[in-house]
Amino acid sequence: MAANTTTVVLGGGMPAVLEVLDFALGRRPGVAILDWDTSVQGTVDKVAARSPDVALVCADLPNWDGIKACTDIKRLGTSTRVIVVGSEGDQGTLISAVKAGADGYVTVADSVDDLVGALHQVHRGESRVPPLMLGSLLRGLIELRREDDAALERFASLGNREREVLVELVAGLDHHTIANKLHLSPHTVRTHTQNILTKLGVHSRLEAARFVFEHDLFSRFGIGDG
Amino acid sequence: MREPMPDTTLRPCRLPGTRLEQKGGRVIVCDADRNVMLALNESAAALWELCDGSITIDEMVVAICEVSSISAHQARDDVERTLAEFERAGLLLASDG
Repeated sequence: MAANTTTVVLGGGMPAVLEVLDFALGRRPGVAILDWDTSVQGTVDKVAARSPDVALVCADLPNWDGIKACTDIKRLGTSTRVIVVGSEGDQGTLISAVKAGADGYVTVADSVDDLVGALHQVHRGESRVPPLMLGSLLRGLIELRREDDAALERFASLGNREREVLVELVAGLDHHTIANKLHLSPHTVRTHTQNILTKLGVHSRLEAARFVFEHDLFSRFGIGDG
Repeated sequence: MREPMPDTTLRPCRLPGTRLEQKGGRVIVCDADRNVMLALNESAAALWELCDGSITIDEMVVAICEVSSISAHQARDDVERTLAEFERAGLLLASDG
């Protein structure tokens, strides 16, 4: 294979889409489609086995989660770079793709020439975002980071005992069980719980759990590591 | 001569009345009142969108690093150079610190 060829594995939930991509891209000089798969696990396995320069994965198709595919391919720790193909103007998917580690994002409105250009660009180590979506992507990332910083600040305001109670609340224990486990009175656990909800700015234990998971707070604060 | 180091906690804000236009495949920022036009590349156009007075230079740099493969140092240089260009063209409100 020529040294300047970009090797590609395709992933997406619909065989017809992948066959069209395979046909359209595979005929272009400088692009070699090594394989494709319609399941996330199959795509990840093929990337692991074939080590393509780029994995080109569809974002959202029936029975297909392209963001998970991107995340799992990145977790392989190989040099394969990932491009997600999403809808034009779909800011949410673009942000999810970037957070999942995607190196590029192209839209279904892009031409085959654009796709080929994106494959080479990402293979060279550059990133690729549709120019018209770049401003709003940056704004979205800034807003997410602000929310994250605010979440960290709220979590940091919890006292040690409150953090211990929160761990048990998130694990789904009731007040009496938590009281026994932490050698506290149920009344004290209820007071801690109310203070936790207030400090985190949430209204229920369920919301507190979601807050913790969304911002990955336990692992970032080294809680529950053993 | 090297530009003075900008305060990266500043929140650049475009002048009221300025607007982004696409002309012949190019993105141009215009201030019709003062007859000022500045052609922008893709990154500069994205940065221009962020100049609404709410976003710090530091936040711009971090976000750019998240979507590109350039270093933080390079991103900071690019952002500061682009903002200096906006400022020279008189397209930003004077910062009050």
